Amino acid sequence: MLFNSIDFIIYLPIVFFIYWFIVNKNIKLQNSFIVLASYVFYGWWDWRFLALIIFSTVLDYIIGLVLKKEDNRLKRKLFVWTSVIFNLGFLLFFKYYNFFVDNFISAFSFFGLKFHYNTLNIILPVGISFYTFQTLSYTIDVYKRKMEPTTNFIAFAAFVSFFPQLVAGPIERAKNLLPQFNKMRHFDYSEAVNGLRLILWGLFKKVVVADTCASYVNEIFANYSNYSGSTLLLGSILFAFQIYGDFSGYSYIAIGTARLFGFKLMNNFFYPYFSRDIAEFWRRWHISLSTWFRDYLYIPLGGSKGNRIMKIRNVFIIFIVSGFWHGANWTFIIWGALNALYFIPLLVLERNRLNIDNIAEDRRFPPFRVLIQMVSTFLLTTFAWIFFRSESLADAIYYIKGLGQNFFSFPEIFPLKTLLFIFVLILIEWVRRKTPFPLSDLNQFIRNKSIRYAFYFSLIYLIIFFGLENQRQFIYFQF
Amino acid sequence: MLNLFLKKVFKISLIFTIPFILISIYNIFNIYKSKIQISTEKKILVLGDSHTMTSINPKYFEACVNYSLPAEPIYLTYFKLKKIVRDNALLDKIIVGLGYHNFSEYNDKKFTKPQIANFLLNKTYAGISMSNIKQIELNIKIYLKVLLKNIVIMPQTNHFDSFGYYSENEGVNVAKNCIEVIQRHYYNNDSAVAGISQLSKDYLDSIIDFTSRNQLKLYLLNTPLKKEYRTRVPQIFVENYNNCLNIYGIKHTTLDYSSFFASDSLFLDCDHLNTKGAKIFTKHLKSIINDY
Repeated sequence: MLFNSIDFIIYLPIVFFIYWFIVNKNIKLQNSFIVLASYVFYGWWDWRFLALIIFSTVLDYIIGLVLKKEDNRLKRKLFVWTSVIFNLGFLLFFKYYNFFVDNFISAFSFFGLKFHYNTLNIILPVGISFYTFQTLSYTIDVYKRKMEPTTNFIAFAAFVSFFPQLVAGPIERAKNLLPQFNKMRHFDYSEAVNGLRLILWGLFKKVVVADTCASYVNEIFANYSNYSGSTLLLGSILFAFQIYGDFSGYSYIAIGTARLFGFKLMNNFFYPYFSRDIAEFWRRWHISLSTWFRDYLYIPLGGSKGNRIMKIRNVFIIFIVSGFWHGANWTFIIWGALNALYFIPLLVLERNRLNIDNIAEDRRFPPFRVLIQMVSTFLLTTFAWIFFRSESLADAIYYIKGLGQNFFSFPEIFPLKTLLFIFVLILIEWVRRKTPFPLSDLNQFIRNKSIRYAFYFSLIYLIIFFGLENQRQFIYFQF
Repeated sequence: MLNLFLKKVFKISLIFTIPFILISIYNIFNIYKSKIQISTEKKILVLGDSHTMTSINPKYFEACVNYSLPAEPIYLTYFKLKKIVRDNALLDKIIVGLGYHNFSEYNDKKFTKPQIANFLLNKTYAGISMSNIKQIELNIKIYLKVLLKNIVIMPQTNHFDSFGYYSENEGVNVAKNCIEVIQRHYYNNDSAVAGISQLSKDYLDSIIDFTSRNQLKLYLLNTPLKKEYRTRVPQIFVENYNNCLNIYGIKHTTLDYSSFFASDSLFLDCDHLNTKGAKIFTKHLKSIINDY
């Protein structure tokens, strides 16, 4: 079920009503209902893949309990590896099987060896990359004795399958989300209002910004050889805003929906395009994944300890794995590697924590130096997005080559309306850059009720208007 | 607190919804009372899909008006015919595009496939009533979205503005793969030949009944096709078309111009005429129809 679909518009109020009016008597009922609602939400897409979620849930629940009782180090290791192998095994099979087969065959044929091996027509289960990482965080934390395993199976099933963030995150840590299922939820008015604001802003970013960018991006990336360099540059900038609007939009809707049910999820985006360097960008972009990799891969590898070579190796590993997580294609790996290349100079010069304060604190406009830093970081990111968006490495390289042709001509495609929405997005986000999300406590910012409501209605109108024009899937559903 | 929240959400929804309800009431009334006004000099109505849309240029056939639409299936032609004839009593001849592909089962799904349903419904929603579409497979979500868009959110000033038109294109043999077109028209996704559409046959009967009852002269027209298209039409569709000619040809005029042009320079692609081809064809058609 898509957040931007009529199905969800009908589904959400029904679930909300049952949750707060019928199953609000005790925590068991609340959790059981969340599991049911989440399975229906997921099964709406393809009920067969529910078996995978249920299997992961049962396996990790049992392993959690076993790890609690077991003191033998070797056995504990065996159990945690069982969880890792099964969870990553599913992920590898569904997501990467064909990629590895294709690449092995290509590699062998390079040396003159021929294999006849058919790839499989595999459907990628929606959200597998997200819930796999979420359950893994649980078993690893229990193994490391960073948290106590839960003895409440229903609460654990609700944690794994919680529908707002099941298919595209944020990837929650067990330590943050699981305890929330062990407490009775009570309705909180201000949280619910902020939840609706988050949903509204998320839908605006997805439906109005990302989806209007999408049609131009699709055209430009599909026929890049027909366009001038200036159009290709515009295409990559539009994609930068498409992916931002699409994914951060999803995250906001997910966090907002969770708040309606009394849950607090971690923030996944914090105005990333205002970053002053790449290190800051990665602290603000897809925060739940970046911190997951930091905690479960980068730190176990040694993190920023050790000599310079080790540090560089660790950064490369984390970025390449992160790229590969996004999809079974060399384009994602190069995207990851490129980001590592951007990041390494900052790490080596120990300037990766230079920009941790608020951007242009107490200023209406950024100082010129900060502006240059923000623009150059954005352009570096946009350049990397070309690899992310291209169908193949060859396409990406030809696209980049094309950037140099007729660069100073006026773009053949100039979507004024879309650029206007991007400008509005940037403006609102800039003004509200200190808040967790732009509409957060908006009543404090726009005190005049009429103006505030006019603003809400404008957003709602635009969402309905563009939602009727085209309904697109969220990009991160495929990851 | 929960009640206060719900009350507030309800109040806001109401404030937002009331103007839209009023707008939609006004527009439904507007659709109901508005008519498609065709000049009284026009006596001949052309309906059909992109084949008639690109073939008959009213500039060279002053008495006719072309209300064809790309991808228009026969059942939609019937709905449009009823609406236009009801609003224009002076029409006396109807030309309906009827080619081999109009009987292909792929037409039955046109209101279910998102892209094409969206296109067709956006153009013709005002001429389609709920009673019309009962027998047709319809993507109800798309239909509701189209209504919401055109009646409530972005109401049209003239709901019949895009009901149909003649479209001209000066290109010659533009790169459009004929095999792909044949595949789309006559084959299923599994490469098996598509079936004959009973729905299209039934609605063709309805068109014939309707024109008879309203004393309208009906012409069933197969527009010119390139040889590379014509020769690839599966035999079952050619036979079906010939059967139709035998059945309907007794009472109505069936005009088969599929092999009318030999020169490829008169075609936009394998199954559509270009501006030049349309000019020659329209002039010829005019002389034929005036003779009948």
